[in-house]
Amino acid sequence: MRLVPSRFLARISLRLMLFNLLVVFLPVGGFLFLGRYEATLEQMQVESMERQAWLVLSAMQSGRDVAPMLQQLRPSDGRIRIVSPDGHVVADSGPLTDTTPGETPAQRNWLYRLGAAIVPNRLRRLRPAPPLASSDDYERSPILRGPEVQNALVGVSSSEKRMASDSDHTVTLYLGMPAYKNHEVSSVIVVSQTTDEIRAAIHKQRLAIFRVFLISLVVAMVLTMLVSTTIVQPIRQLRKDTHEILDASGRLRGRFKGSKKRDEIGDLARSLERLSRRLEERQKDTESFASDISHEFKNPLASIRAAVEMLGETSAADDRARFVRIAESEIARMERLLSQVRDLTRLDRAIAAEEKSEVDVGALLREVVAAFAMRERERVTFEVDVAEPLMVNASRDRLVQLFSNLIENADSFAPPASVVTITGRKTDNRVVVSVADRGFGIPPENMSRIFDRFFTWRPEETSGRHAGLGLAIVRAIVTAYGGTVTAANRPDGGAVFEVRIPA
Amino acid sequence: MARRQYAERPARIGGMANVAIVDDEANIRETVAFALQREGHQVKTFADGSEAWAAFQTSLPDVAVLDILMPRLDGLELCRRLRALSETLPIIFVTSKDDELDRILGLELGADDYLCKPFSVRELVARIRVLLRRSAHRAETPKAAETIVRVGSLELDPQRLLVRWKGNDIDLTVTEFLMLQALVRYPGHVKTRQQLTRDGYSHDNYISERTIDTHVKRLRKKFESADPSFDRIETVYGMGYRYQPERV
Repeated sequence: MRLVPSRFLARISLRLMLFNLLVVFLPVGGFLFLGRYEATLEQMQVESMERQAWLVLSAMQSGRDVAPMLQQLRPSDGRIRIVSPDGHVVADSGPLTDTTPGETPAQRNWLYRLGAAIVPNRLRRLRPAPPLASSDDYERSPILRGPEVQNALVGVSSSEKRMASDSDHTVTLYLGMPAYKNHEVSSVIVVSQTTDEIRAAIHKQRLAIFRVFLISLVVAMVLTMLVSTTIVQPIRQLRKDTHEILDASGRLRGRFKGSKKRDEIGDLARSLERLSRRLEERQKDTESFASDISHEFKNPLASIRAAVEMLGETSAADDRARFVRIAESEIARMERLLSQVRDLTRLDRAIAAEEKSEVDVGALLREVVAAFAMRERERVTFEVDVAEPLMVNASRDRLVQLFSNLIENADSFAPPASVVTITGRKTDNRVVVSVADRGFGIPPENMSRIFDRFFTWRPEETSGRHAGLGLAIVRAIVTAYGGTVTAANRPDGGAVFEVRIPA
Repeated sequence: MARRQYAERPARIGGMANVAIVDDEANIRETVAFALQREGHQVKTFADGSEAWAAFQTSLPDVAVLDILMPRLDGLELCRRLRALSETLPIIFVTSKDDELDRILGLELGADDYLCKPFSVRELVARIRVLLRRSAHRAETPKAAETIVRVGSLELDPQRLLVRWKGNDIDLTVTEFLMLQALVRYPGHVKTRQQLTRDGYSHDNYISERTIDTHVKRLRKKFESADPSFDRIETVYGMGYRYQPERV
């Protein structure tokens, strides 16, 4: 139970959600840059105020009377005053008109109000502003002695910020600029402007950032859900399948269901489906192999048991000899069966471990056939037809086993005084060897099973001489070399087996 | 009709019978034929189903021993065809696929018994003897009432291998009959699987306990198909089975 929180965090969808949300919070960082933005705007405003002061200054230096000009100027967004060196206001364009209402347009937006309600005050404190002097007296007083005036008196232009005490806390910028006469500061030009426009611009930016934030939030959630359904759900399904295809004893009970998705998880699902299908085939194969073997061994065992029982019940010498012979022949059969089964089960591994060399299949066929021809003498004639050297990279002994089994099979079906034809050709980078007999052919109903292990079908009874493994071994060898083996009936009677091995 | 032709045929003359052995294993045929001939039977052997079927067209044996897996015509199909000719001809299956016994039993082929390879020849000969006795007595009415065993609603006739439950005939194989007989001999007493093996296969010591379970399962099923409420054969876990007579 203690593991629950870490497991909860370990969930991929939750982690995805966290990552996505982190990205969403990036625009929030934009709020921090608003400070710089504000400073720049203030700088620009100060510069524009300087230009106004210069205008007034140049008018003064041309000797004109400034007082009526200032009256005439009456800038709507500011106030210009001229202060004598002792601080007295000698000319004034008139008080600042409070043109802006209490709230900026952005502030009136409902989203801005929502954001203001959510964003904690702490965030605003990230940019602590120095406490500002009051602008109230400064606007009304006939004597101005603020730092900007003092600086101007010693010949330095500077600006100062002051804040109104009303509910809006309107901030006003003050610029002091010296005016000279005979190389002495004769008066100070004080230009003042409210920063309402800056405030409005900042609020507009805040609103824009908040909008982007909200939209990103929605997009991030939708994205997370989408990713979750396309990644996490299929993975969960795979995990569920993994649990379901195994029963309590660890036996495969089904397959992965696969997927039609074209992404990596779809690939994974398909791979797992293939894997489980192969495992299932393998499992079936192993189980049926065990059952096949037990079945195959029961026949000779039954004969041995019956013979031994009768041996115990009869005293006639010739009968006893008969049952001993039966038991012995069946024991030999079991031994044959065992060695063939051992061959078959070890084949894959054995072939993989064997040393391969370039073998001429044509020459090898002639050798194998020569051995059969010697054994069969006059009964069956073998014809070998190989046109060219047929080189194959394989184990020589394995190829001998392969072709011996095929020829043995053909030989066992060949009627007396018939011909078994063996041909070797090379087509499409493959060595094609066919073995044809003139026997009964293969009944169509058996065609699909003749390469199955333990499958035998013989028109004449041969009493367990053929275990039905010869062709199974042929198929196993050919498959191990990446080739194919097929069987068919010849139009003029008899069966033909065709082996194709990559050259 | 072919069926009428064979159905009422007298079973055999004296202790001798015509036995047909159909198996693709020559050594099995030879040994079983030897054992049956020693008993005084006439034996005909066939290497596959179609060869046997051709011969059965002209004359039916008194007992048929069939292998199941055979080339061309297998034992199951041959049994079906034989049953179409005669409902009473005793048929014994010998099979090397004991893991398929359940499936074969489920086919309701109407065989009279099943033996698994490697079977005991003595056992097979004993079964044939029992089956021949049953065919001989089938037509007769029971003469002595005391030969019939009664336990509650169950009646067993060992002479004719007949079983009745609440008046209904239950069609059992020889093995099933022998096991039921063993269970009923001491009602309420537990019979271990080994004891049942000894009673069911008196000449064969190599029967797996699973085979016993299969037969008991079939036995119950056959009673249940006649009487769905039948539950007299109880499994005693870790021990065996017992026949529980009805409480009165």
